[in-house]
Amino acid sequence: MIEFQHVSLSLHNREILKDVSFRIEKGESILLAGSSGAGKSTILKLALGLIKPTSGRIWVFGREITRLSEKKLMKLRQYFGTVFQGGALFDSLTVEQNVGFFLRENLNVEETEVQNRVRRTLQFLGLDKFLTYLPSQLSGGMRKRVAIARAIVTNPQALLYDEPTAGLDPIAARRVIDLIKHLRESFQVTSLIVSHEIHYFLDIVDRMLMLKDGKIIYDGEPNLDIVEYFDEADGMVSIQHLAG
Amino acid sequence: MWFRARAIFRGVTEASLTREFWEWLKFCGQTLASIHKAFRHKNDTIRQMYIMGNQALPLVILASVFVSMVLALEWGKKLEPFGAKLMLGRLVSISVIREIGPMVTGLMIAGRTGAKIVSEIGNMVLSEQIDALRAFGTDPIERLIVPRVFASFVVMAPLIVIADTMGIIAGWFASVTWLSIDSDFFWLSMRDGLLMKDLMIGIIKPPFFGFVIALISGYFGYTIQGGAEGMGRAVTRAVVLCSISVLIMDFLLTKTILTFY
Repeated sequence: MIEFQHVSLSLHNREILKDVSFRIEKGESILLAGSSGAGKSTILKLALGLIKPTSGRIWVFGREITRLSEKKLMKLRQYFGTVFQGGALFDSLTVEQNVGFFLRENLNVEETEVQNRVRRTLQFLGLDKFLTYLPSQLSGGMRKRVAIARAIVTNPQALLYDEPTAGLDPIAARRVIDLIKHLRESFQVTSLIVSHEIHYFLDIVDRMLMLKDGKIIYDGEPNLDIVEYFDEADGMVSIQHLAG
Repeated sequence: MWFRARAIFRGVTEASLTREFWEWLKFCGQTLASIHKAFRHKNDTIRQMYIMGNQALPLVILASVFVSMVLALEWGKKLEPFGAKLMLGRLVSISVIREIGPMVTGLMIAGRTGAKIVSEIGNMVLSEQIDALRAFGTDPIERLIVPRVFASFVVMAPLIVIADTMGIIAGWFASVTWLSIDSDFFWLSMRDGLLMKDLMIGIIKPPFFGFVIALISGYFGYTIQGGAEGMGRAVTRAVVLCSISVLIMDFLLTKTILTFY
């Protein structure tokens, strides 16, 4: 479904990613972990075609996207639902307008259908009382849940989460994690979760990729030992050490 | 050593300037290619027209009124020794309509609308809202830049008509109140001196100013980098460049129009 083949990326004379290769199958749930600045969010943006790699190939839904025009990428991106780190809600629009934005904008869904889907989704997330609120009137956790609502309302084939628990208190973070778990179990949607808070997601993903200095250093089952080592060494983990 | 340092500095600056200019031209091309989409997003376009036109009106009127009164007072004093004070109506109206009105309005809009567009779009870039638009398959240029460019182009003509009208009234007021010019003489002088050509020149230029202001500030907002500091840098650069562009375009358009008329 999503495949990176020897992808490297340099920006402003700095190597962000070095020869990154991995594959995500349909329905799989993946955690992409690593310390801050390791290049996790960059992988997410590459998968969406928001930035182009310096070298290598990226396959999404069976199409090689590195040479696709922006117009064709726009169509392809509609199969994704993305939850950005800060929510990236449109601050001049209400919760209802934010969640229904892409249904109205891109998918030409009838207005009554848009309203029904938005209400259903917000009800599912326990946000149906906040339809007319502006993002600035919501708490961090609620903003994140609205962002998730916006991502799932279009029935995407894959969900991408960029640091879904970042900046949230433990209770709000737990609600978001439960929600991601629930979405995964209910809809079997392919998920790629980018986070440095590994311990939150260990029991809800099928596989874990670990990134360090732009390189994948671990690709396998979610492993608590690696997480502990990673925490202790403050991101200075290396696969050689793990093997030793 | 100094020469080498200067050469390196100059080389880097020129290269980055050239690259940025080409990037801006590409951005302009993309915007122009989808300018017709302003009608698809008519609600946004109308909202932008209201913000750029109606809300900027007090500032534009204020600037036009005071510059015109100064113009009338200064010329009144200069013309008095030659007994030509009665020509003031003609002089004020032609100056305001052909040059002062468009120029002052252009500069005011460059500051106000330019800064507003950069900070709005820039803030959306920094908070990943632009990435969100692209990630869900919406073209941010079509959705955000086009309505602003179109609105900025359209509102300049009515703005200039109001600014000119208020400017001339202010010039008349200054002439009658402080220069003791007869009110009828002022209006007669204006009616005799003002030609259709003057009105045409005065009304043709401002929409182009609005167009370029929105394109420059939209570009600086769209390509913003580096958080709050980057925002400050982008706003400053955009306002400076918009103001310079208004001055240069004013000259080029005036020269072109005068060549054909």
